[in-house]
Amino acid sequence: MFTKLKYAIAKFFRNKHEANAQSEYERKHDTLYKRHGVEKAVFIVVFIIFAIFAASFIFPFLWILMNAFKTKADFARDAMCWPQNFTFDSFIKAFTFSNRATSNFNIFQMMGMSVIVAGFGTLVTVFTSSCAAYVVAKYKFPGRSVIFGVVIFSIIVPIVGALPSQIQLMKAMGLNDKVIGCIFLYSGGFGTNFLLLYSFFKNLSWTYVEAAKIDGASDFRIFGQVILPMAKGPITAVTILTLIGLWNDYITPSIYLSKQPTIAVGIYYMQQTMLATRADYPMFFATIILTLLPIILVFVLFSKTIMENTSVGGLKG
Amino acid sequence: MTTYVEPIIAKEETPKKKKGKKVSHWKTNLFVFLMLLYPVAQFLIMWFGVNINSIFLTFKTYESGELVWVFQSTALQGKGFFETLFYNYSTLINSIINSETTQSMFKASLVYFIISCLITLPISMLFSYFVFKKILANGFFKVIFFLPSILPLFILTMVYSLSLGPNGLVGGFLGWFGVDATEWLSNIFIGDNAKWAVWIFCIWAGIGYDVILLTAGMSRIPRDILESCKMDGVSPVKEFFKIIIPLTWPTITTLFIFGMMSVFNVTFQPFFLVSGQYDTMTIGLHIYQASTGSGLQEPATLGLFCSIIGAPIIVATRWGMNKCFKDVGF
Repeated sequence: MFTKLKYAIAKFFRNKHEANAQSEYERKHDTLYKRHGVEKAVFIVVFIIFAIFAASFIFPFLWILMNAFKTKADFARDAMCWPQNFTFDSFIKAFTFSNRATSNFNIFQMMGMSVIVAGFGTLVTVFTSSCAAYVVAKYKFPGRSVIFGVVIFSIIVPIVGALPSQIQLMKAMGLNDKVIGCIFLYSGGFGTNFLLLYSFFKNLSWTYVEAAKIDGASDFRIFGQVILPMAKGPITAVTILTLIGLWNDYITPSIYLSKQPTIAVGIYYMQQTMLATRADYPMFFATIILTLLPIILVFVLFSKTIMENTSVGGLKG
Repeated sequence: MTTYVEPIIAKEETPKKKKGKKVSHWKTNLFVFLMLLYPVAQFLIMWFGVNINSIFLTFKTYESGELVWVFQSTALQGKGFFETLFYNYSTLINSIINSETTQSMFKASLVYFIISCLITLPISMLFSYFVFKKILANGFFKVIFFLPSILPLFILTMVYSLSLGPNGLVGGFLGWFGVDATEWLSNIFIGDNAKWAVWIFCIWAGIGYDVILLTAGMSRIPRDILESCKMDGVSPVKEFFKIIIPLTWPTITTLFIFGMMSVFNVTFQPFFLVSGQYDTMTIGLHIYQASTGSGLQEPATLGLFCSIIGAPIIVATRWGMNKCFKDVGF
């Protein structure tokens, strides 16, 4: 198994390397990207601007990573130097930190909450979106155009300040302060995911379904065994993008799950104690690093899916 | 012989097929119903229910800890019919005219139109042109532009404010060059500077999202068009304005509309950076904070007021922008 993993990692990097080499070759030898004179100069200037912009994103994170290994006193003395007394104390403290502000949740429990809320929320909303998108795209039934029209209207026309009413309604339904309430809020089937999957299903050939129908498959079976496997690509993309969005969501859990904080909300609570009360910067830095790890992991694993598909969702909006 | 039999079998099969179709029709209806049941129910509750309730809320008021209709309120008794009915609205309009905090809130929110649509979007258009034209290390820059979309907003704000803070990265960096900026940096999130700090953050973190969508839009432009441009000797500036912009216009429209919506949507940037102090309170943040309190009718009225004014403007802008260039399918 270990060798398999090793092989997979090696393959991943080899593919990446090949792709890079390919694009580099294209960049150098493609007439489309040949530049001369002033144009070349402009590109160099813009490259420098880009490099500064990139540095403004990378260096703060490196700085935080570096300072997470310092002691509190070391950080206070010099925030810029290399750690003198290299220590993992801040990470250990960050692992176990919990207090009243975080409802006695530590960082792992918060991440667990995030896994539950964002995970189930994503599963449910992707499933309902695919159901709704498939039926609206492919079946003729009375009220279909009404549903589609209302959904488009709800996406195009911005409605400000539905929050107070939403809070009142959620309280009335007894879904406040419950995990299921959060998941219910996320579980909508008619958001932007709907539009993305709708356009996919709309362009999907109907012949497979006809073939399956002639063979006597029921509609449920067709959906489960013919349509969903064909829609694997867009559904994976939508799932990952939704997962990242819900993982990072602050507003919903901060209102409806304030006593069982997810990591996105919890880190805000932790910051209040760690920085405002204790002024323990390295511990907070360690917390930030720990919080970022799962996101970075998902991004590295699925970067291609994420980067190729974010755009599609936005275009339809 | 066999050719003679076949039509008979076919004849026999036809009624069977019809029967089968009828059964499957009923089953199909059930399928459609079950598939739409949950999404439609959820939509009815969380969109129709919420918005209708929102409208109701604007005709309610607080009385001894409970929300009651304006007509049931004892405090409003003896007033005229319309005066009572539109009590929440008149309170809001009064505060817009008279209250400085409300005025500053509207001003602070409207600034985000300039920031998103007139600063971030044009910069992003330029940036994405260079990414699209395969500037050196464009793959790496794409990942950088992606970061703000995948990181939690709170962590981004924290990284920004800690780096700029008194003992932060920027101060230390300037210190290497002998520049002592400690005093200036310790005031960066206080007073008049606070606004600028939030605005610059919004541009810094907002460019990435726009660039990603725009480069994706540009990558759909057919290579033939760009090649023929190159052959005809079209200058890059002309290519950008006459080819790239018209062909990515749908994406630009979408981003422009998003930018307009940010007037109402910017909530947590000022909250996380400066807790909404120093005239950085926005409409979105006010609604968020007021919603967690008790006076629900006030944020609901403000929200509806903004929707009534904002929605037609946004829809009209979208319509107008769609007319700008002929839609080309490619």
